[in-house]
Amino acid sequence: MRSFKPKAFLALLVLAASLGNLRASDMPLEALLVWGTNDGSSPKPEHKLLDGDLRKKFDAMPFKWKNYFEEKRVAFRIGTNQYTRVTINGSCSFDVKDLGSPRVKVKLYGLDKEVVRHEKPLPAGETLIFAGDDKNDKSQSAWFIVIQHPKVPPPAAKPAALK
Amino acid sequence: MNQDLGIKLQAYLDGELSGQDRVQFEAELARNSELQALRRELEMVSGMLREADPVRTVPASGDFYFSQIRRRIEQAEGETREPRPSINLADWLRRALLPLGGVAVALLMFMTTVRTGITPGFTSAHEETEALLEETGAMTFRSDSQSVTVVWLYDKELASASAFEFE
Repeated sequence: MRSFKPKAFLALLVLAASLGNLRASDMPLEALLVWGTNDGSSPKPEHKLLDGDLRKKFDAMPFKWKNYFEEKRVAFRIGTNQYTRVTINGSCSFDVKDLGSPRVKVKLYGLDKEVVRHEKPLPAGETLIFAGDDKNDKSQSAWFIVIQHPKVPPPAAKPAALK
Repeated sequence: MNQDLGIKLQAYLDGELSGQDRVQFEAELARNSELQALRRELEMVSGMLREADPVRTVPASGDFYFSQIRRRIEQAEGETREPRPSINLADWLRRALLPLGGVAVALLMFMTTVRTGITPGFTSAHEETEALLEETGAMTFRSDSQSVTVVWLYDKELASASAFEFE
């Protein structure tokens, strides 16, 4: 019978931990572009009324809009090694990176200029929203870029960019 | 009377002479009147000293007695107690399970940290916002109940027209 070898056991433990760490670094996220308005319908027919848990969160926030329309939604994964670029539309995009623990750092761009950086813990169930007035609509509507870490990972999707 | 007789008399009175010495000294004492007088004198002095220096007992506290009683009981129990078996299963399990439990908890924390990136009890909730354009401001609102953080971006020149309503 072979004797117990502590060094071999420790090596296996470290290997298992390393494999686990590789999996843990692949954080699934979801991004949405949402419009808030007091109108009952969206001028763009492809928009759909926001519903589900996210709608409840919007209703619980101190916003003044009655309706929220989902324009884009994409699922992607981020890692700890480099930023993942997510393009929202022609004028807006963001980079996001997993800092671990599990913190994320987001760099939001508007017209290719970095507008804001935000760093926060984003465990499963947590939501981060960047928002602002629609300057073309005299504050009658607003845009929301929602980044959420869903409790249930969304279906696998190609990382990267929203069209 | 010589000095040796005086010393022997003192030893006789103290009961230190025995056997042949004692018999011989008692014969001498019966013959020697001077020695008899010295004997009476010494006995008188010894009696006076006993009367003048009474024996006093030192009061002992109750704790002293109780500690003595406890010590005697413990001593008696120790003598009657049977020796413990050298291998006790419960002791062995306790000694083995405690360290193993500690190792298991540490391993669980380690694996949790590796798999989720969260070390139990060590999660930082700190948030940082940095607005990078002069004309754009940023303010952050946090709702713990909804687990939502909102970073609201606004034009500083049009700040008064903010659409953000705080409750």
